[in-house]
Amino acid sequence: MDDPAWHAWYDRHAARLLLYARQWLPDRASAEDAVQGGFVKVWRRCRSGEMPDVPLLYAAVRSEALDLLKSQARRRAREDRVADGSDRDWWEDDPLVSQERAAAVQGALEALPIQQREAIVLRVWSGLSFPDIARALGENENTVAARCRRGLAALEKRLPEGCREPL
Amino acid sequence: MNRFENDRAEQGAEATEGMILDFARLRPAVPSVALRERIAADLAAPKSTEPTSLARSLTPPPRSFAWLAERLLWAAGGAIAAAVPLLLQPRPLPADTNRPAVAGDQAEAVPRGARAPDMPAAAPSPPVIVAAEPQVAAAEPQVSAAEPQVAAAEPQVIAAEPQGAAVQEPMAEESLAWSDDGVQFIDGQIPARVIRHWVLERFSGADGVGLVRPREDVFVVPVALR
Repeated sequence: MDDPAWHAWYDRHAARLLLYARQWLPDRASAEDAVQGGFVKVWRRCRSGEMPDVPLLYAAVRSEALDLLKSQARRRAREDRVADGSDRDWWEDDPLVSQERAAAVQGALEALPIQQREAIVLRVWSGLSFPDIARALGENENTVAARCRRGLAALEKRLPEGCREPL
Repeated sequence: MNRFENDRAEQGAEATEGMILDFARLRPAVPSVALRERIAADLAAPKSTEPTSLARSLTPPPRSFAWLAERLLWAAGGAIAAAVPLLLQPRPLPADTNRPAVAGDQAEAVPRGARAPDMPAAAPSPPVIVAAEPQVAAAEPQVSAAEPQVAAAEPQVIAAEPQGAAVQEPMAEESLAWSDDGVQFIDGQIPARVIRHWVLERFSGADGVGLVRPREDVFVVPVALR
């Protein structure tokens, strides 16, 4: 399926998929690899004119990210790239948002357990409903909602004092 | 759940939604332009190059009759190629008839069978020995006596030409052992008694160094069965 329809769909979801992949993969290059692999797999399974299932897309990206994590060579290269701190920005530059608070949110997210972190990212930045998050992660809906609620509470507590006011 | 708990749950839900809206104002970074190009290249490539687990889980494509015929042809060709060397290989003779009727001079012959000290001393085996040798003829009655049901016929002893540098006559010979293989059928038809004799030959080398070589004499004595 090589019609240009995937371009608009990609523009709408690519940044969210990348942010989700970066919860598993600490550098941008590996996260983009995971997005590429998951996107291509899911889009190819769609029949012509049909849009991919969004939770399935996140599940595919998650699978790709986990596969990448298992690769020792990639892990070493990733550690080298992360060590210099060159690609640690998760967010777009926005003059309306304090850079200090953006960095604080990222740091607080990174300190959370991965289960809570991925539930929060899917709920907050990907905009998925709890049933869709449950489908993407293969978990129970109530479990996902509880993880998200506990994670958000922990995220707020981990933010520095000067960064807790709304953006 | 009483009214107080209900109000608290509602407040918690509102706070959670407020946090979600607050954090959602942070916009995720967009991927690089290269990622779009890589995806476009992947989608334009044939599906067979997809090395992913989802691709592996897809059902295999349906097999056509031509596909099956081609594989059967390959299998038949492989079987024929494997069978041709076996068909071209000469068939081995039966074990009874595989023994040569000619006494060979074998350089690495190892004495086998029981030593027969009662047998006469070794007959020196010239290149060609006819059975008229007195020592061999003397041995013939003993062989006949050991087997009363077998009547000995004219003995026939033939020795082969020694190979290589050992054309010269040996300085001395030492009898090692005799062996009686019993009556065997040469070519499956002629009954004959096969007697073996192992001898150690001693030669004088050109540089004065002695040379020792074992030799095996095979005596094939045709017999008539009663």
